[in-house]
Amino acid sequence: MDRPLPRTTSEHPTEPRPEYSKKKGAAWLLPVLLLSCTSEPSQPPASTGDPKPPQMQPAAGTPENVIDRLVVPLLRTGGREPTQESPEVLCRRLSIDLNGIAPSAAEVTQRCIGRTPAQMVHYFMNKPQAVNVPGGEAPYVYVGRRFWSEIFAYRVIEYDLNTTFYADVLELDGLVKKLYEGTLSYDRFATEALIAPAFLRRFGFQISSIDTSQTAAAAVRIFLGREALPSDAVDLGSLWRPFAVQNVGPTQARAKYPECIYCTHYAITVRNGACAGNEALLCQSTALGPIRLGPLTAPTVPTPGLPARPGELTGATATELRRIGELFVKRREFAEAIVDRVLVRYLGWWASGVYRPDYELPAVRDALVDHFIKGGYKLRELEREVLTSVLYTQAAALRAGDIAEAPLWAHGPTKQLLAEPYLDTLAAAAGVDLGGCDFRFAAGYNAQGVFDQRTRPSVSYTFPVTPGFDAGTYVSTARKLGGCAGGAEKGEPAGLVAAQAKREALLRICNSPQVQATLVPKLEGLAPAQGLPKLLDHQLQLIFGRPATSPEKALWLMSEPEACAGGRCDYKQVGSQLCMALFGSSTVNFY
Amino acid sequence: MQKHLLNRRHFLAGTSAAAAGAGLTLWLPRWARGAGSGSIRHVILVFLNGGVRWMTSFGASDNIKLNPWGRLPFDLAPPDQRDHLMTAGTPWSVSRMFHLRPMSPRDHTFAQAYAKLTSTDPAHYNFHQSTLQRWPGSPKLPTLCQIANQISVVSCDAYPGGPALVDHGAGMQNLFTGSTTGTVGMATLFNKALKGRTRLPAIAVNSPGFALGAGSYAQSRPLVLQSPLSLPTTDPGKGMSEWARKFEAQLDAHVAQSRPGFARQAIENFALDKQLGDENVRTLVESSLKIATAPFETAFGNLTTGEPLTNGMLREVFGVSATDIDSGDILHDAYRAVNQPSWVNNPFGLSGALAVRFLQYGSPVVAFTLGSFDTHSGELIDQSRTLPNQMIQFARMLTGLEFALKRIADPDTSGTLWDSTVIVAGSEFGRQGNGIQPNGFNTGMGSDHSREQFFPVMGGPLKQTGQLLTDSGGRAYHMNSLWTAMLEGTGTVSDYLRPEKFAPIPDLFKR
Repeated sequence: MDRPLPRTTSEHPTEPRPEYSKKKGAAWLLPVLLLSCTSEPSQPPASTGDPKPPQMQPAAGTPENVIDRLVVPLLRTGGREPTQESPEVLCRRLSIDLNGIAPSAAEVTQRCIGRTPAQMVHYFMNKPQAVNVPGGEAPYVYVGRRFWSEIFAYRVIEYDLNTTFYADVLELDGLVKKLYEGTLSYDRFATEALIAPAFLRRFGFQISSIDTSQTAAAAVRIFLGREALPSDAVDLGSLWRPFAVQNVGPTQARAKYPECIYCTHYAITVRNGACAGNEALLCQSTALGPIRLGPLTAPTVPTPGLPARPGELTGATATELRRIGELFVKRREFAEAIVDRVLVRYLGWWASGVYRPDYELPAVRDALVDHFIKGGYKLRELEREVLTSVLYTQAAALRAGDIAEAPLWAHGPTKQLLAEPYLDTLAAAAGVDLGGCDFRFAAGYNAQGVFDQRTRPSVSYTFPVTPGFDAGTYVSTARKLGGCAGGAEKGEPAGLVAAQAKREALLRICNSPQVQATLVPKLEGLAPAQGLPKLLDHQLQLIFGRPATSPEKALWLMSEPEACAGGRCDYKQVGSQLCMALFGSSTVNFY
Repeated sequence: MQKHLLNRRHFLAGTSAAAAGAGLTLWLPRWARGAGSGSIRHVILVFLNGGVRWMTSFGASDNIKLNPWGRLPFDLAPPDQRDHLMTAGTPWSVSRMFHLRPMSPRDHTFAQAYAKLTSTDPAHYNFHQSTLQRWPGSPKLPTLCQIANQISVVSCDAYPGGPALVDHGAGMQNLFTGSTTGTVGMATLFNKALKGRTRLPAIAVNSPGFALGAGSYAQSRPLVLQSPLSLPTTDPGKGMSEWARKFEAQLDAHVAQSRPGFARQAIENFALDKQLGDENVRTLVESSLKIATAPFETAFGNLTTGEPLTNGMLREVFGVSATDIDSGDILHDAYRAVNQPSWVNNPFGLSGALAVRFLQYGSPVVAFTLGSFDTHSGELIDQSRTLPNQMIQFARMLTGLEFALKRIADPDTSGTLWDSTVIVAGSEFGRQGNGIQPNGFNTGMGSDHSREQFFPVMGGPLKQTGQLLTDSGGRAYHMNSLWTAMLEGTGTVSDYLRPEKFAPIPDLFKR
């Protein structure tokens, strides 16, 4: 960049900058709707505890980044210099996306302010542990695993332990872990996942029936990012004919999987003699290119009494079965699909919803695909490229003079907090442990909030809960918001039920004495004019690591007369209400 | 090939946020409300999950391979249940499945059960009309064949003449939104058409797909419930003071104002969800909606005769539990066949009862998902789930709706709820498959995915009753022609469904 720009943040729209806002000729500038600064409350004096003055930051975009090489010229064509997001806001964005929780105040100060986006990304990708992650695991890896648990839909049916056997889930989840640790390339990951029992069991291999066209349709959806034509799904489905479902019974299963408490094991196995003899012509497909699987021999069973599992196969049979994945991997759309998936995950708007001309940038996809393939299908590298790009690091808020109809790629991402990051951020700010849930298993709390010990393998994660809180609140709320594994009350992150679920959870949490102790400082004796701003600053400091912005403070002070009658405040009561308002608002829920 | 990237976690980014892009830029759906309201003021959408074997039920074939149950021998039915025989035009074919007593593997081999599919022994059928003791005058509930002349069946297809759509995911999205890449659910669409004339928003029970909404439809998304049992029990909004709520709303507005259009609408939708939730939760906690748990005498609204409608009456008419209905009811046969002689909270019945209550409270649209019709195996007899078991539950729900809606006063008009309500059931695809053997089943004694669909439609606004509806060439309609016809019936036009391409089924509904 040739010159630094003033810092802009989501919370601080700055003065108009006519050098781009009034420039003519850009197609997307046609309906110029200037953001009115007059509607903003006037800046109060600095003595009221305003945030530090804006710092000078370099403009976003680096020539080394494959996205920036394309997008920065595009922005300039539209008369716009990319503006880097403020470090505080970018810090929060990265921490929530990569670690599943908002950053602590110390992290904002020590790891983000004064650091480049690349340094921040490096920190959050390699952070060794976090309060929201069990077992001292790296949060980036943990959050990545949770992300893929949705894609593979490990658990959707409450108490139906046969849908995905926990040991199968552990195996597939283990592959995802290696993917995010960087020890397994994405092409190898896909090759293994496509023959993993947890994948087969969830998509097409039921106890009473096998529908390999469903398996093929899921494979295409997950790894090629599109719907298969029905005829293609049927054709491709033939490749999974070597697999079968076998009931091995709880006794045998428990002999092999002692962690399984309530265990009925329907094993996904490879049929000995599959694709041979009369079946020789069955195991073939042409949809993704001609392929015929050779005769398969299930090797010696490692555990007597149990059939060979795909994950245990070695030698020629394993090599033969991996040809299914190789068929997918060699296609360019395989790389395109994961590039899309990463862009969708981190940008929010990419290729989403209703089509509009700028809802994706094909050239960016192409460049990233080339970069990804050339780099050896390394997912971490792909994610780093996206996360350090101008698409991710530029300011999300409108700058004065911006138009609301600017292309989607002209601003940084704005996304809504998902269930677990929301609750984990709330818990961290409130200084309590609310619990958590194991994204791999629905085991634990059922729809009525009743815990069933039988459903919980002993390998399940455990999460601390502060005395006085009910762990069921976390699970039940998260499920209603679309998080946590579990079927009966599974909801969506948006919608009326989600809104009410948050209201209900906040009512319990914000009014608890433990949370009040953290969120309400000692303000006794202070008049509302002094106490209320301090209360707001205190809570925002805990949530964002910053005091209130001027508009927030102005809005808050307008509430004062109703909050504190007669010139006196019950700060505990006001603090609880403020907690509910802040955690219920877009200020916290969007990042 | 279409990209298909939406998943549940992507909902926010994909649907809610995308709303802005659509609404503000190029895609500006035309929306016009007719000069007067149409005959349809309420819609009940039923999604039969998994792909239904329609040709054994509402599109009953007389070909054994397509329909091993065959068509219902009406001469076995009591004389007062044969009105459908008099239906003029092209009456739809009623399957034997609706009245043949379902069989259990406990006392039937497959061969024995199969042999009964052609039985003419009256003992093998159930045409019993249950006596509704909790209703004034103890009336009799009609049977399916008795109301067949009030149902029409639309022969439809996702892509007539094009490739078959037989994948669950794509089929569902097509059904829910009108295309495999659609972003507006049918409940949202009809809610937009009908809201403003009602007091509650549309409700989607276990049917979030029907409740998608983007662009100018985003603010018409229905309230989504996870199940008929997941109604809120408390009003959490009561614990939040007015000033705090106002502060929260101001923060929302401030953040929304600071964002470009795409993100702004996501934030505004978020605020809208809270607002609607706060407004409606007071209704949703009402005990009259707690069909499963509230005392039977809990009442809301009235029959046309002035008597109150109690939860106990709804439980009885929909057979919510075994103890709610008389011993001859066909639901007992259905449940006995799958070894559940004393069921509670029959999901079909519970949903039907809840739908009636929501209509009474003013919901313009109620959508729900029922069943597990993906019967690749064990279609005829099975320990836990068969096609007849589920289809009879569904038919029983239809008879319950027909009976109840005709007797319940519409609080907004001088008529009944039946007068203004259309009930439609659909699925993501039909069943048949290439593997069907001459006996009508695949090797697993089930059936596989296929394209043929036959959607039952009924309700007061239905103009053509008892008919099998095909286009002028006798071919299946595009599924969207049913939806555009329903929109037309509401007195509304929207180009989301592209009526110029998918012309409404002519004269299906009263104007």
